[in-house]
Amino acid sequence: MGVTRHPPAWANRFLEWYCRPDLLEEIQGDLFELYERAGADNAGKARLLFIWNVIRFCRPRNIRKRNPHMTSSLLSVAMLRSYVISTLRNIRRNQFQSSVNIIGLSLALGCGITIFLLLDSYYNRDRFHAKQDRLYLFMNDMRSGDLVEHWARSPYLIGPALREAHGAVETAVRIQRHSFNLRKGNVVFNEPVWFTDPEFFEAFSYPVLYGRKDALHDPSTIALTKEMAIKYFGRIDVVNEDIQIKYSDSDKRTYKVGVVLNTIPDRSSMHFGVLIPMSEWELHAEPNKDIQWRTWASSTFIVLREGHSPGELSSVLAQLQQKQRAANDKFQIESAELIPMDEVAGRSYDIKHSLSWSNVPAAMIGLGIIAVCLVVLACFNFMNVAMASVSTRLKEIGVRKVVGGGRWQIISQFMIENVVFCVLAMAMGTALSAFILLPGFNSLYPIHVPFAFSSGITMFLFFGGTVLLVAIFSGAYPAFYVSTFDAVTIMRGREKFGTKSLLSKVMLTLQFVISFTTIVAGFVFINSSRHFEAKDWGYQHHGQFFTRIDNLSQYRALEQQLASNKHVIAYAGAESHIGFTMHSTTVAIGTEQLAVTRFEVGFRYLETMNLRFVLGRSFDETIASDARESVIINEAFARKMNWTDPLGKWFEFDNQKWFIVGVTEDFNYQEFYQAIEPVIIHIGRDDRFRYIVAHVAAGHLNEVSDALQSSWSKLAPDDPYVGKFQDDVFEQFFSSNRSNNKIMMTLSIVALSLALMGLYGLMSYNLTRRLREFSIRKIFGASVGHIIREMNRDYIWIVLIAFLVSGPLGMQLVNQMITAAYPEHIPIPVWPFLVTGGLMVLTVAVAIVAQLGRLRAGTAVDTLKNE
Amino acid sequence: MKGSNLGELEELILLTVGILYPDAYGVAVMDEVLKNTGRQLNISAVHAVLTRLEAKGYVRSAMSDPTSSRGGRRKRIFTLTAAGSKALEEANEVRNQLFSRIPKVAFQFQWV
Repeated sequence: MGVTRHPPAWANRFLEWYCRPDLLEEIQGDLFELYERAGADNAGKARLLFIWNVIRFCRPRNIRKRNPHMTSSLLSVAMLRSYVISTLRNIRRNQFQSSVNIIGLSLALGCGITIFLLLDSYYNRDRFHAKQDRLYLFMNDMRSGDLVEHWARSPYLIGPALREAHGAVETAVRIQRHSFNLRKGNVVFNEPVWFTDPEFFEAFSYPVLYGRKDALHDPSTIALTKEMAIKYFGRIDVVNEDIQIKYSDSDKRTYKVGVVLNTIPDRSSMHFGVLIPMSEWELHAEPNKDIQWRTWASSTFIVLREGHSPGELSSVLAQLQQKQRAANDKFQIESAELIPMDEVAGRSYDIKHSLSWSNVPAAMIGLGIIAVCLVVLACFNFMNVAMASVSTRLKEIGVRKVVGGGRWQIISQFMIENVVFCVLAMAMGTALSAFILLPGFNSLYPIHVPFAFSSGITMFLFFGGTVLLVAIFSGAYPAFYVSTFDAVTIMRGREKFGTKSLLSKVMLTLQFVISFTTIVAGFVFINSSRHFEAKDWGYQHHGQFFTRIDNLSQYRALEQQLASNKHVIAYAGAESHIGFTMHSTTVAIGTEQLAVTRFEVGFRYLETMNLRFVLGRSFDETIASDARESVIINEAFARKMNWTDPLGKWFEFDNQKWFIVGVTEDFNYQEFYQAIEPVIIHIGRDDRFRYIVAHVAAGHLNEVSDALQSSWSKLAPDDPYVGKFQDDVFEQFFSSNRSNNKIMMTLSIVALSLALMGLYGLMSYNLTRRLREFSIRKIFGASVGHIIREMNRDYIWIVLIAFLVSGPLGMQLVNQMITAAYPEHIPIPVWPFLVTGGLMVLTVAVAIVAQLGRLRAGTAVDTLKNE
Repeated sequence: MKGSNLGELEELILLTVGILYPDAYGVAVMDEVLKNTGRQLNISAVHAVLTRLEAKGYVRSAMSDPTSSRGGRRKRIFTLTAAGSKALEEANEVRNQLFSRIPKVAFQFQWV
């Protein structure tokens, strides 16, 4: 019986490849026999059986041994050396094009490295604590009214209660974040401080410079960081020095410095300057002098004993939750969760009151995507130019083939060239990132990203992986393509290749799509940041400033001063101030609970802040009930309740009825990442005022605020002056917004330069290839315009298609990023597309003009003469 | 190399090589085992056992003449060596000896 159908060729080839030559015949024979037999019934099954058997035969003793005396062509050191040498010679021969290529790639890789370092350090924070694997943040799902949120703020008593109730808990460390006035001699600042349990240093591994880690057990000692020591004492070793904290006018305490900490590491997501024993908070700072289950701690951290998991605590937690719910009817714990310390930073964007700083994940993902896009773009660039550059090396390939070079040898030569290119570009990119891009980034943001990887393995994988991936991705296709050329066709000069093939056209289009998408995305992002700069805050904020005050007498003194100043248009006191402080609470509307933000202000506050009314009126000093039971809400409140006419409606809060007398337009009271939620504003007593706000006539703002500041030192020598222009309350937001802008601008410029370099490299090679043709055309009288048209016909179409695809794509991408990061919809104008289109035309024009020199009349003759 | 002990599968295949003389090669051995015992062996397993037996000196092999089937490839024909048949006899003997020493009660007990 003859073989009618053949078994799968690849499986057979695989068998021939791995099988020991002396065993091949019998094994192959048996397999073919079985295949033929099974094939008589069912061809498909026979093929499967054959494949299965080939795989089964692949065992150590059937596998061919490598002969140590025969070197593989790829691994030969001598060959490797000559490949590297020929690569370097090639680079030298085409100096300009090679450097364009390498610079493009290293630019992209530099951006890639920088963004990778950023993401790497961002997602690997808080891993330096010795007990990191059993350190957890206690997170609550807190229900208030109709809202359920993740809270880092937790019941003050839950930490100790957990330690008492369950043996798996080793320590519970609570933190209370406050700010008080610190004084050493004449140095006075309002300083953020952390009150914490004495076991702080048992849970966290912040590096200690001087003093003993158990110092916080003594309630009269505190810990400072190195920076704080320098700020207050002018030197670092300040153990046993005194420093004063003012809790109130009548309560000033002097502490000894027990511990000086080194600078908080970059890898910590939490930052602090001063640590004070928690017992001091209970004695001096706790407002009600009465600690109950409804008392809050800013955060509670739990260390479990080794070998225990958070799940073991669930039943104990459920009991404790009941206690909390019984004690607090406004905020109730729905459920609690222990979050491993290394995840806290990454999740903090979603955890209210978290002590860890964090960024919206959309921004991080966006950056990551852009980094990948840039590197891919550079790869496409590289690939397209490599394809084009082959044209000048056809003879070399032909000769190699004629003298017996195998296909794999040619492939490996080209691949090694790519690896050399990539290693060079990687080295340059690393230098670029270390000396320019990363320092630039660090100068834009308050955080500091060190030029270091989270671990040696990460670094190795990143560099090794990137070089290999880029080399393979950008070099594999050209190398394989080149190796298929037939020596005879090459020598006859008949090989057709380059931009003629559909595949290279598609790749070229892809390259431009990626680059334009990045550019459009960059511009749309910049536009939306601009949108925030110009955004209406819901009130007129130019011309106001505010000052923090501590007591009524300070308020009275400043009030007097403002009242007598003719430039002051209006002023008012407030307990909480828009853009600076606020309270969250819940109100009851019938049976419904609604979570709201509360502002407690003085009369004329709304006028001073220029809040705009939609309905009703502002507070009026002459109406007696206004101070007692009138409340003003914002539009968001009315919208949420579906009220068309909220005036006269009432709700319950703080055990009394409040009647709505006015509705304001929505105004921004927190950074623009947060949506505007329901707000209530009511009148507070003047002895509760903590801020005084003034609206000053245009041009006199500095003058008035300076006058106030200079009188402050006489008024309250113990307290630092804390004052700000209302324009600056969102300064942090705007400065990070501006920084984001700069980053996007840089990335767009990089994308644009990559597009330009790619286009230029391509045209230049194309011109080299067709120089003779163009010279002949020229001599026969073709005009420059005609030749340019001839030269660019293919590219124009490709660029056009790329633009049409990338416009909507880039818009879509950025739109999604923005919707994820900001609550409101931002309209997208036309200009990013027009500008990108313009830049694209400019790019092509620049690339063409740069080539024109080679087509001047005189050179045409020279070209032909030298051929 | 494993000792000169015969494993269960080795003994089975060694016997089959003896039975199939002079046409014992991979596929034939596999088929014969299936026919006699109902065990479906993979061809690679048969090859592995045969080479192991050859290494122990119980079989010897030679390539056959090419045939028209198998794409013209030759077969490797295995034949029992003297050591091989001796090993089989020994194995058989040991088993018979042991078998005869089982008390009759054990059999009766099984039949009850």
